Amino acid sequence: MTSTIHDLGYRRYSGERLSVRAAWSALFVQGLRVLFGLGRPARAKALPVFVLVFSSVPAVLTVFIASQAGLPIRHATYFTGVSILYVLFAAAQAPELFSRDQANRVLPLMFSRDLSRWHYASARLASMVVALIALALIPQLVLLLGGIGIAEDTIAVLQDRWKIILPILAVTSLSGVLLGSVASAVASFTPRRHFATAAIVGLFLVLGAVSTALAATDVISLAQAQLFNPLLQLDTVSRLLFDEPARRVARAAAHPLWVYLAAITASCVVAWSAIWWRIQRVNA
Amino acid sequence: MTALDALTLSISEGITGVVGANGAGKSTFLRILLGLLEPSSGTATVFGHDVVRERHTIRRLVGYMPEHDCLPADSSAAEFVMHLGRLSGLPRVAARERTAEVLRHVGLYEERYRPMGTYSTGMQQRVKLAQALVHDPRLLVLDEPTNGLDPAGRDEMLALVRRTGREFGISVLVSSHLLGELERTCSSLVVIEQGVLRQQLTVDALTSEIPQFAVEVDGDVEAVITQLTDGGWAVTRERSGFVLALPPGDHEAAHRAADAVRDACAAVQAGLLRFERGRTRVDALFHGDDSDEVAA
Repeated sequence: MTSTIHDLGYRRYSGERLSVRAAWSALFVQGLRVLFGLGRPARAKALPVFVLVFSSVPAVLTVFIASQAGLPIRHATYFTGVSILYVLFAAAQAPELFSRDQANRVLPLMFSRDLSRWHYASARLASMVVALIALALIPQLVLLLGGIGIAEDTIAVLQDRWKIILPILAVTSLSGVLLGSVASAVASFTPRRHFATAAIVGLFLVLGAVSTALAATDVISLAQAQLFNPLLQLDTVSRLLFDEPARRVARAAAHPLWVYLAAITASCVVAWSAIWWRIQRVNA
Repeated sequence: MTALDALTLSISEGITGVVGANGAGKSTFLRILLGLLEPSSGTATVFGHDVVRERHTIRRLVGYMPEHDCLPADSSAAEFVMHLGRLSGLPRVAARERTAEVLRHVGLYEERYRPMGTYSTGMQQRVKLAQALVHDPRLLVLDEPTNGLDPAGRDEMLALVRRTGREFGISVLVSSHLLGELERTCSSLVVIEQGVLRQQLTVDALTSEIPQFAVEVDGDVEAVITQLTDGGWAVTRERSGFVLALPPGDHEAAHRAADAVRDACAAVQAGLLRFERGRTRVDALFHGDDSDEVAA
């Protein structure tokens, strides 16, 4: 070895080399960190914190008010009320994964490693979906545990409330998968983050507008028109799954649950196909 | 569009340069070897593995430094290289150790915790090299590693490439559009021109020292030349100086010639600006007009 210091640095690596699955997990976890701004400057944490606070703090207030006024806690109403925040999160953060990777041109670095395009697309999508599920799950758990906590007869409430765990998991998962897939699909098509965010918000607005416009015509029924709006799909599914009495006016008569599940599945399949089509072709 | 046309070649261990003008197909060639592009026809193998069918095997053995920028501006070098180490299948602790090691190897110290957006081009190129090395590959594929660097940066990068290739037993495939910078770095060269293999050669045989000195002086050049020709040396006047040819087969001639040049300069009060052993320049091989020099 010579006197220059960096000659001392290089040693061969003879240690363990993990499988592609470990690389996939590393990418997945890194994606979650990016989505919540962990290990990144405060600027990157602003939006995740905003969404987390404004989607979860009302749950604490709801529990408090319910305990004071003896009102029932409505999971479906709560979910619908804050779901626009999840759209905001998806629109702002999906481009942080898909668009940013393309803008930074790091894809060749990944694809020249033993990480295929399929691994990349699935890990990124999984981060997005899991982040959204976690966000939606937190206030629902606050409502559930809060409702149990404030009850006078805890055992009786437990016996009643455990049945709601399944709807909670179903609704949060469906919303995470649907919003995450749609937002990821749009974001994967452009390296420009702000453009992607605008496009995602725009897509949800346009779908909402189309749904409203169709509802205004006599061509199809209100319930059919609402099928065009992903947020209304989720809204209706949550109402059907939680099976809570609507607080205000009765809404449009809904289709059976399977129709919405089919519509959501179809949207997801379209989104996944779009992501896969794009990631296979994106220049690396 | 055809970037590479019927390119047939085989490359052995050591440092191999891929030379060609911009757009000659160098990057395409490297990207096919990495499995990033599929050849429309033909086959390629790396370490005996087919680049299409066995790309997974190959990717565990190669490290790739792309030509273009690929560093997230808000991420630090340490964070970025470690992330890519983990994507290469290194366990967390090993990835952290390897990251520290390769960054030190390429000469990045405290800076490695700063966002990479603040790095100079030279530092960015080093990080790009470090990420290609983090998983200790058997083959390094470097696409234009000296792009955008100033002359000092180029020399440092090439020294790093040489050291990596020679001292650490990692084979290197390095591309450049500048033949001159590869000829002193590589053990063999591949020249691609418009997607066609123009020439493949071993550098050792070609860039060996040739018996002449290239001299430049500050002062009366003619007077120095006169001094030397009077002393019996064969001197050729060149644009910015002169070339002194050594008599063949005389091993002591170099020392005597050096003394003669020194004395000649001293005698006419001229300053010696450049005095170096002539080398065959590989680019001369590709331009017929310099072929005399090569024959020497």
